[in-house]
Amino acid sequence: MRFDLDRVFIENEFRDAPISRRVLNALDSRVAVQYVADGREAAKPDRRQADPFAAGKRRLILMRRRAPFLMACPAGSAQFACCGYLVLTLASNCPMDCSYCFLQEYVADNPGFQIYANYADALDEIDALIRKAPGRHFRVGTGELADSLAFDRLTGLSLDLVDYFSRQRNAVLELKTKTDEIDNLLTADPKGQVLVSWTLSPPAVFASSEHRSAPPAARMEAARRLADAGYGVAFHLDPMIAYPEAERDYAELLDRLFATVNASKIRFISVGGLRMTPGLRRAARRRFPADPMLTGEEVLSPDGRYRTFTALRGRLFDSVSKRIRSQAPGVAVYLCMESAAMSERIFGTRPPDPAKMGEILARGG
Amino acid sequence: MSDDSAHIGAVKAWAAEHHLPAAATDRWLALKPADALAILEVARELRLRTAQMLNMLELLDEIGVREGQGAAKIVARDELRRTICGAGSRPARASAFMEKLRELRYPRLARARANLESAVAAMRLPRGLTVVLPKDLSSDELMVRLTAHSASELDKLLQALVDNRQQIAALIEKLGGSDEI
Repeated sequence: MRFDLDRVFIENEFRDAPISRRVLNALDSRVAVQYVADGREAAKPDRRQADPFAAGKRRLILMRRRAPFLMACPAGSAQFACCGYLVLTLASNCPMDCSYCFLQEYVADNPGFQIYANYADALDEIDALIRKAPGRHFRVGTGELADSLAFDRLTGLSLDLVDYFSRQRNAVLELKTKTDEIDNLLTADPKGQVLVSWTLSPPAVFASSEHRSAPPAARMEAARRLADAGYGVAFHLDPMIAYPEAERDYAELLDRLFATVNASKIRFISVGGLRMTPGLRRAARRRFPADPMLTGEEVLSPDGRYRTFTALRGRLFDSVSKRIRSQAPGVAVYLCMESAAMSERIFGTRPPDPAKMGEILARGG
Repeated sequence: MSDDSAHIGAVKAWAAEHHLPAAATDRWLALKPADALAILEVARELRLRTAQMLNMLELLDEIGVREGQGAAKIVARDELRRTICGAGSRPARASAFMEKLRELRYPRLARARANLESAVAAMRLPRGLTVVLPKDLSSDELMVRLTAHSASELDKLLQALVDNRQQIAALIEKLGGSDEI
């Protein structure tokens, strides 16, 4: 994907790091580069800009991560059934600009597009985790605070990650993306330890809300190519947006998916409804006032988030679940950030506990 | 003053009189003159309070985004005109207007709630046994309340609860999405 960068900041200690050289080589030579002692200052919002969050996306910062890389998925909570996903934060913010994206609130105070140049430390953290629990299988993903592949043309990070995970037996890597940036991945051999997942939305949502991302058809085609190349592939129908034609459009989307990607190669499909804290909803409406996908029938829910009212949300989950079951009965499906009762209503059984669920998905559904 | 800006003074005057927050006033003034004026006319006719105006501005904006229409066309719809010009006190009409506006903003929610409320009414539960739907159907949690003043009353209510068990269970499933919306 094309980056529109105003400036690149590199912390002094990474001036000669391989990742810095790769980024500088791949950059348009007109982009200014500045070396700084501490990249955190450059990550702060520039309040002089009309849209400091969008401006942050245009400042790429190669810097040290000063917090742990590995953490439990922040979506996990006792209120919800959970998939046991572990988040590996290698970057923060994203060059794409989806109107519903939680980053608009979550990184509002440090919107600079940060890439953590000391990512080798992250791999040490995974080593330590695996050593502590040798019998367990973990699913580790990099697509929580950033798209996993959006910046891969610049950094080549995916190659280092695939190389590391291809040597693991108890951990799989999930690269989550809305792009079709797969050129690097096609040159590597994941040895069954890497899966790539795509957020999928119907064309109407893509056109209205998922700015600068790859069209849904391009994402599916990228998935087909990677599946053929030996990668596991998975899909996230999340967030599902309950606009008036949603039921029909999600059915057509699934039909297209199964016509493009052989269902036997799909590890899992996750399903989740649009959810926005009041702060996120305000930020999203302010930034995208004309997006009808942000003015659906969301109401303030007991968990403090705006969600599509339960009956409509459940209805939509049920319809996609049935569609998947009818066309791809072997594909694992789960709900993200929904109660166990909702899962039971849709799938007929209560979901396993998070650790067990994580193991199931790590082992391949 | 041009025709296009004739409404500005009137809008500002209403906003000042009602202590409307500056951000809301700015949003109101940023509308097309016909839309801003239509809102002002409703506010005057129904003597809307500040909170009602804030709510109306938000609902009209969101209906406009959903349906691609300006405020003037929305408030000119028959179902809204009827609440504005109908019988009853101004506060009652203002309340009915806001309720109808909310139904337009959340059409499927309004239909689902009406459907559930009629299912609750059809059970004809005795006094003291109440089924409470979640606010805005925001969860699948149905509250069943028993209010008894004697042992015999309690027995009667428990029996009514048992007799209506299936219908109540069906309501919970409807709340979770078992029905077409």
